[in-house]
Order: sequence, then structure tokens, then C-alpha cells
Amino acid sequence: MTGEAEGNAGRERVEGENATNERRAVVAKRVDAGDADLTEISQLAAAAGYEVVDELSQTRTEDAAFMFGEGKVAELRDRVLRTDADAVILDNDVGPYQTFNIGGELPEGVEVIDRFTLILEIFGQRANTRKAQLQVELAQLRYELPRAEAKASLAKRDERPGFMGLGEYDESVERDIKRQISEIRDELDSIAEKEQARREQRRDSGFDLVALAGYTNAGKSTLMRRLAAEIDVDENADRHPDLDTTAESQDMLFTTLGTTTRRAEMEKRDVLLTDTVGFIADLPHWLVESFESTLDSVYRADLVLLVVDASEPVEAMREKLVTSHDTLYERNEAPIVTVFNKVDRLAPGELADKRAALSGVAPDPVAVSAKTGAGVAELRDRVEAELPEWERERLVLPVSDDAMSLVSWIHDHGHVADETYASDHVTVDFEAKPSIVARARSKAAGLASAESV
Amino acid sequence: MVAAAVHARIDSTRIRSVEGMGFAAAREGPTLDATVALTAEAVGDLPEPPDGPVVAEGGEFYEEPAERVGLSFRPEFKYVESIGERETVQAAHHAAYAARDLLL
Repeated sequence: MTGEAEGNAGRERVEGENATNERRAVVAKRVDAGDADLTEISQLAAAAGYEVVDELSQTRTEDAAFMFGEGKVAELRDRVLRTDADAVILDNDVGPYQTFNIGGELPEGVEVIDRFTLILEIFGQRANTRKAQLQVELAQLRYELPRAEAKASLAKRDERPGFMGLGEYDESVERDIKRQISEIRDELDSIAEKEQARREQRRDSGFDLVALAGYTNAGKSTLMRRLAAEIDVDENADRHPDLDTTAESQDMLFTTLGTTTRRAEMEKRDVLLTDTVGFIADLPHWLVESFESTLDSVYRADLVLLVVDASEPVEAMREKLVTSHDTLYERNEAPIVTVFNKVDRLAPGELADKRAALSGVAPDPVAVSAKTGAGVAELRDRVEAELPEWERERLVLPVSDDAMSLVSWIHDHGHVADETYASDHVTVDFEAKPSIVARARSKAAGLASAESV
Repeated sequence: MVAAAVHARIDSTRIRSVEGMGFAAAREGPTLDATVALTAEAVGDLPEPPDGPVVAEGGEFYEEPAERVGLSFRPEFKYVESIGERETVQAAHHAAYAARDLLL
């Protein structure tokens, strides 16, 4: 089983870094109605380096003290004892008191982890750039803040430092967290500004920015490698370690955490493709906000390719599309093209059924297989068609050194359809972004006898 | 309470055109039944009955399952999915908010 093998590979890497032993976990989930689906939480646990040794689910309304029913908690304890697990992973939004209560029922030393802590743990293991580390730290602090506040307010109830007292309230922890949050925010803001400036610079150099977005494990990184030319972007490479590594891809959740940018040559236009962190359902807004500067590369692109794993059942695809739309809503500015990936795994006729069933959330999707390369040519055409329109312009320039350097500048920043030399002038017929055309015009006007036809 | 229904033609990421609007107001408290009835009244107030589904945000009906809320709507009912649907619900929010002072 490939998932298992890769799960082990991931764990070894983690062990190498943290020198921890293999961790065993029991996953559990409560739902109000219907059957609990433990697939995603098990995958997340594997991605974080846990071996899932048992699972447990319950369908009932939430218990205020334990979240699960008390009997279920006893069953959980038995299962933990039987499997000798080190951790219990809960796929629910568990309150701090519920976590404490469940922990109290379990054997000594067994950790209680909820969905968000687990995701943060994965992010923490994968964060290898300054920005990613800061974002993870910010998310962790924001997770801790309400818990520290709860602790402080409980402590204040019966503890008074009193007159001349030397004691201090636990509020100092809360203040520390708030201070750290604001420091990290400042640093992230300045990183975001630099990135914005870099995006503008890239646009000015005639590149169109295309971002790959989508649910985690949709195959964004594989598609990126399929589309990208093998030339690395060398601009500022030393300052951006994320540009050095090839985007990782394997059958696992959250293999990409930072952003990776590659150049992809389309027929006419030069495109910079950015691969980003995948979306996942049920994330609290503060966690999404913590990753804002990474998601900015999606929100501020010229075109977004929303990648979906088409090998999954229609309902799963719909849920994942809805999560993606939810993440993009009110933030995204660019047109969205939906890409059905992994079509090599589909049975004949299945694709047409899925297209019809999902027409509301994904009209006219492009079907590709990043693995085999099927449909990629069509995707390239679609990307070119959906990018903002280029303007066409014809400039007649005198033959001079300055004019020649302008001609070569136009070659660098746009697509030259025709270039004709006559005795004393040269005619350049080209297409480029409106801003590039405007700059070419003003440069041409600067040349003594230039005229626009 | 004031409810506004916006009948729009959309694609997955934007509103193409707004075909009509319907309004309803009630002085009752915001119980689930009253909210559903008011919304149904606003949909009924549309100049032309819509042929597409009636769409609302989950929070409007206290996160009740769509199957339960859907009993009061025709032809079908669902919660927001695409960006286009969210934009339309947002338009209805603005419309209801603007109409509040006129109707109550």
C-alpha cells in the first residue's frame, strides 16, 4: 500500500529531526447525526507522523463535560490501554475543559489532540521558511490566547495578590501572548509588503501570475511540475529559499506549506505559476487568517487554477469545492478556472457524470491528469484564453541604437507578431499587457522621430 | 424581521444579472418556523417564480439540515456553495438591511 509506505517515510524524516519514537494514536470523532467519516483525520494523523492503531466514533449530541458520552470515554480508555497508544486524536472542536476532562479519564501520559492542534503540528514539522514558521507560531499563539484568558480569569476568582503583595496574576501569560502576536504580525506584514512589491515587479516584467489553489492532496504540486518549464526562477533566489527546492509531492496531506514559484511558458505568454498550501474543511477563521500572507499569492494572482481530485466521489468533490469557494470568497480577485485532476483514475463515462453533477460549483472544468500529462495542452490553451486580454500595438521606430534597445525590451515583455525593417525605420507589431503597451508607447515617444500608426 | 429574496442568474464566481427582488416583514421573534415562513413569503413576493434552487446561508436557519428547511421551499432548497451563490446572498443581505426602515 503506497500510502502506508509514504506515511512511514514521512515519519522517519520527522524522527530524524525530532528524535522522537514512533507515536501511536487512537482517532475519535463525534457527529450529531449520520455516520462519522474518519478517513481525513486518519490521513492527517499519518501526515503528522502518527500510526493510527484504533478508531472510535459516536453519533449523539454534544456532552458538555466530555463531548462524547461518558460510556464512550470509558471505551476510549479501554482501547487506549489495549493498543498502548500515546495519543488520542479528536476530529471535533473540543473546548479546553472537555480536553481536560477527557485527559483525566485516560491513562497517565496520554496526550489529547484536537483537529487544529494536529494541523498545527503538521505545519510546524513542515515549516522550513521564516514566513511559514512565523505563520505557524502566530496560529499557535492565537489558539492558546483564549485558553490563557480562561486560565487567568479562573485564577483571578480566588487569588488576590493583595496590598503590598508580591504576587502577579496569570495575566502576564496573556499579555506575553498578545505582545508576541503583535510582533509576529508586524514581521509578517513586512514580508507581505515585500512579496506584494515582488509580484508587482514580476507583473511589470511582463509575467502573468497564475496560482494553483485547491483542497489538500488534490495534486497541485504534481500539476505544477507538469506545467512548469524546468527553468528555475532566479530572481532573488538567495533571499527566498522556497524557490530553491522543487515542490514536494506525494500522496499525503499538506506536503506543500510554503509557496513555490516556477516559470511556465505558454504559447505566447510567460507565466509564473505559484503552488500554495492546500485548503482543508472546518478550519477556524483565525487559522486561515494566520496563513493570509501565503494565501495572498492566490488572492492577488491574475488567474486561479482551482484543482480538484476528480477520482473521489461526487459528494466529496462537492464538499471540497465548497470549502475552496468559501476560502476564496470575498478575498480572491482573479477569474477562477476549475481543473479536474487525476482523470487517469476514472472509468469511462464517469467524467461526464461528474461534470454534470458539479456544474453549479465548477462550470466547464478542464480535465487533466498531471501524472500522465493528458489534457495538459488543453489546460495551457485555457490558461492563455482566461488571462487578462493583451493589447495589440504597432510602432514605427527610426533605426537607431535607442530604438533597437526598445525593440529588444518589447521582445522581453510581450509577444512580437511581426518585425519589419525598411531603409530608415523598423515596424514592430506586438501584443502585450496594457501597462506594457503604455510604457512602450511612452518610450517610443521619447525617441526623436517615433510615430505610432 | 425583514427578509429579502434576490432572484439572480449566476455562474460559479459572479452574478450575471438580477431578475427581481421580493420582500417580507414580520414582527414575530426569530424562531426557526417564523424565519422559514418569512423567507418563503419573500420568495413568493418575487415578480416571477424562480426556476433554480432557493439558496440561503446556514446561519439563517440555525444550521438546521437543508432537508428539513427545504420542505417549505419550491422547487428545491440548498445552502450556499459557490462564490456566485454567496455573492447573491450578500446582495439579499444588503437589500434586507436597506428595506428594514421602510418596512418596520
